[in-house]
Amino acid sequence: MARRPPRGRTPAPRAAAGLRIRMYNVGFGDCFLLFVPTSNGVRKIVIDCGSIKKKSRELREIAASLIDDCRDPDGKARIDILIASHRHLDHITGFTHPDWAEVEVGEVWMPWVESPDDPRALAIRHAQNRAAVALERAASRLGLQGVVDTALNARSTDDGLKALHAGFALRAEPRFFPAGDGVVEKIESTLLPGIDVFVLGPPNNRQALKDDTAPPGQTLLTGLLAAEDDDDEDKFQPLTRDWIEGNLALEDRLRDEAGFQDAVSRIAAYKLLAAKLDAEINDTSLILIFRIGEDYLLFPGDAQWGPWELALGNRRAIDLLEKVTFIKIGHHASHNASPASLFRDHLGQRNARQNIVHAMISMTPHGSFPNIPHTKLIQELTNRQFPFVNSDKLTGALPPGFTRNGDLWFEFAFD
Amino acid sequence: MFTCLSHDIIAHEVTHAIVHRLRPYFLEPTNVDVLAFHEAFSDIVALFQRFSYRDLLVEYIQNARGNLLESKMLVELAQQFGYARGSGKPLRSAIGVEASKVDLKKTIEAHDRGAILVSAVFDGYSRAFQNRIADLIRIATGGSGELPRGRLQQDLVNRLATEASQLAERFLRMCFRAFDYMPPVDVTFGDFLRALVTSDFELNPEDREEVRYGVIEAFRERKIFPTGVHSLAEDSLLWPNQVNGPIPQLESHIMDLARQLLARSASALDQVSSPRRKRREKEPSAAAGFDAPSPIQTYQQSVIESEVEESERDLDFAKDLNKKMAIQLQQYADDNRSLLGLGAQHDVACRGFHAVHRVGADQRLIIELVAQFMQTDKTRTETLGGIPFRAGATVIFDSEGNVRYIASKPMVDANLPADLQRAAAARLKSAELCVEALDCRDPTMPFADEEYLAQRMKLRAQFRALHEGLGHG
Repeated sequence: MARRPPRGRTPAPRAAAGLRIRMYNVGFGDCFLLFVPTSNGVRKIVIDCGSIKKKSRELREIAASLIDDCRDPDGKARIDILIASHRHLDHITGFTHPDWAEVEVGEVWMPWVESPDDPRALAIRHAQNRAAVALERAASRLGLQGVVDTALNARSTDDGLKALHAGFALRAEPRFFPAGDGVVEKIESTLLPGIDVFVLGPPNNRQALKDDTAPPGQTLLTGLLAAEDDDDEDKFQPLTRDWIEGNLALEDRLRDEAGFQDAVSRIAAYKLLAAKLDAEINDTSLILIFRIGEDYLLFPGDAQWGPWELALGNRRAIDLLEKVTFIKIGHHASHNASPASLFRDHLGQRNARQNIVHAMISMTPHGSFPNIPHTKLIQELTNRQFPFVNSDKLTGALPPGFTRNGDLWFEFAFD
Repeated sequence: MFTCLSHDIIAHEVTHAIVHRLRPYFLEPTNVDVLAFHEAFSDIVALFQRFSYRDLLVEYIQNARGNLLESKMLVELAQQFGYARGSGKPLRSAIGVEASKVDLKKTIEAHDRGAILVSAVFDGYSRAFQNRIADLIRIATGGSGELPRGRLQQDLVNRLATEASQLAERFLRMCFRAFDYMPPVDVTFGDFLRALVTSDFELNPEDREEVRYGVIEAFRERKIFPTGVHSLAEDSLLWPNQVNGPIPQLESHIMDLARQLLARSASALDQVSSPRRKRREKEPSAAAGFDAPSPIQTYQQSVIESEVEESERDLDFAKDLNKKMAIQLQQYADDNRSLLGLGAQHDVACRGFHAVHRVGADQRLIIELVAQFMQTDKTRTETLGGIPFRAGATVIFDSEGNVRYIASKPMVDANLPADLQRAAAARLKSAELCVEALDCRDPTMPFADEEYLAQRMKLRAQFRALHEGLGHG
């Protein structure tokens, strides 16, 4: 085990020179482009391209810029590794842009739950999709726009996914990780000579991805799925059709106290289910650590507590996390994606940069997520003197090492 | 499946209500055991209720003959009972898990964690059952212990069922009695073990059937250890009678009041004044010249309880006597703060007081007075996600006003002795860790607004049933 380097003495590691991490300002979503120095020239890695709420520019414009930024001198856009962290729209909708069809992508990486022929992956996707469909139907009847949005974010019908599976111009066969059961797995890729990539999630077991399973046929939403025609569906509505369509006089509606109570409890239940579904899909995120020279870059997607609990209970994972020098803050700086114990006890505590970790946050305020960014997390980064940028802040001085290109992107390079 | 009509569900939910009535602060998750205890206790009651119906057992025992000699039989029977608990998860998931496979540290969710406590108590029951039936089996098999082929003799089956149901009733009573010995706040599984052992020790000091021993072993195997005890020996588990020097006995003016209260609660148990008996004798109670309260009413009147959160000293009691008693007890606790492990800073409130009459194994009448004291520090409410930091003590007095036992949850206070300060600091730490643990596991955190964040620990206690009822399996 390496000893903690004394603060302020160790010279900055040189191997990462030329490394640049670019965060496009997509609003509420993620889109990252890494320029990675290797023994065989600079390689380009893209992690996610999606948004569900723009900040200043349209996503398609940003996607076009990114593609342009990846052009080689011959005019061809080439990306060595293209990674989709998980299926949420705010990470993949950008891949629907038609220009992607001409991009030559070396390898496409996705979490194992997206594998088209793994029966366990299929079962998970099927269950999540059913829940999303039912939830959307239920919530739209009650006019719960926030829940509808969450459900839509989880639907797997998106064209972005199709593009990823199709492999772009070179028809690259997607690779799915982790392939085995280990908490930490090393990814081998000939496209990244001299670079190590470790995958810490999603866990390759059902339990960590979904913490409780209600007995089949006992769930609140099963009815909505079973209902084929509208008559049946009424059974699962808290309020009668007359109530919804306004056939009842207002005072009669107000008198329907039981109907009200039922509606209120269902609304609470739907909101909770939406949150659970959201977390469950976030937990399918690839958690990647890139070792470049002595730097360790952590890209955890939107992974929440389930995978983190596993990783934080594993010596090898902790060993890697303690070496981290850069982190993409998970899930747009929500509370659950950055466990207190990760920051307090491990992150970067034995790294090569005097235990300082640089960070990037990609977000803009979103009505459904009042607790994003989580104030305590921002406070923690500040207290720990971790230099960071938030894509939502387009003015003001940036910490050393960070640059801004108007409202298009932020970039970080170790000095 | 009409879950609302299931016996187990009703027993489970009613028990929740009873627990809440007796210990309202057991809905405040100040450590990871609190909500789990609420669930577990309700499951335990539902389970032993079922087992106390002898006729239900008869048929099963006849069929399960093969497993009769192993503890497996009761587990399997329990698994057949009760499709669903309040959580929507079957009761069977709570029992029959091998002790070695239990991971108490990592099991946080209230129902799952509660299941560990249920399995520990049920394991104690299974052990006691095997002890009890050993002689019956020997008699029935001529000493060989080998059961003959074919159907069991019906007499034997009936006797086994009787043993199982009587033992279930004994466990039910044991668990209910233990409640008097529970601290008023911040309960842990270890506290329940200590309360079980202490209350049962009072009634059956000898434990000839090794019932307590079996329960302690079952807890030990699941690594449920109370804090602050050196071993799981029975002597260590009994609550102490002091935590910071001898506590003075109740003064004579309090005892005078206490005797009046005792007389009243005793009359609830008295056959002569029982309204049921009066009805049997076709003698309307009005004829006797007074409105006799039902035993329940009398009992309720003898239990002092304040619901008023804001002004804990402003106790508004229906009965003058109760009010006087509460004021006097409050004064008593105020005078003896540090001896009760309470701090110098915050008001001390008397949260409840009642008399207990029990008949011990040797037919002695045991009379005890149970008082709950509490103290609240609201300065930590924000850190603890919307619940204040509370300290408290449940004190058991004998009929002469001497302290027999104290279950103490000390306050953070620099004037208390070092060991109490350490215990208080540890309690505060587990409260903070509990907030952290539940925050991590709460999928609604990204969606949370200010209001939710400020109240989240309270809301989680209310919503946990909802959490569990959902899902899309």
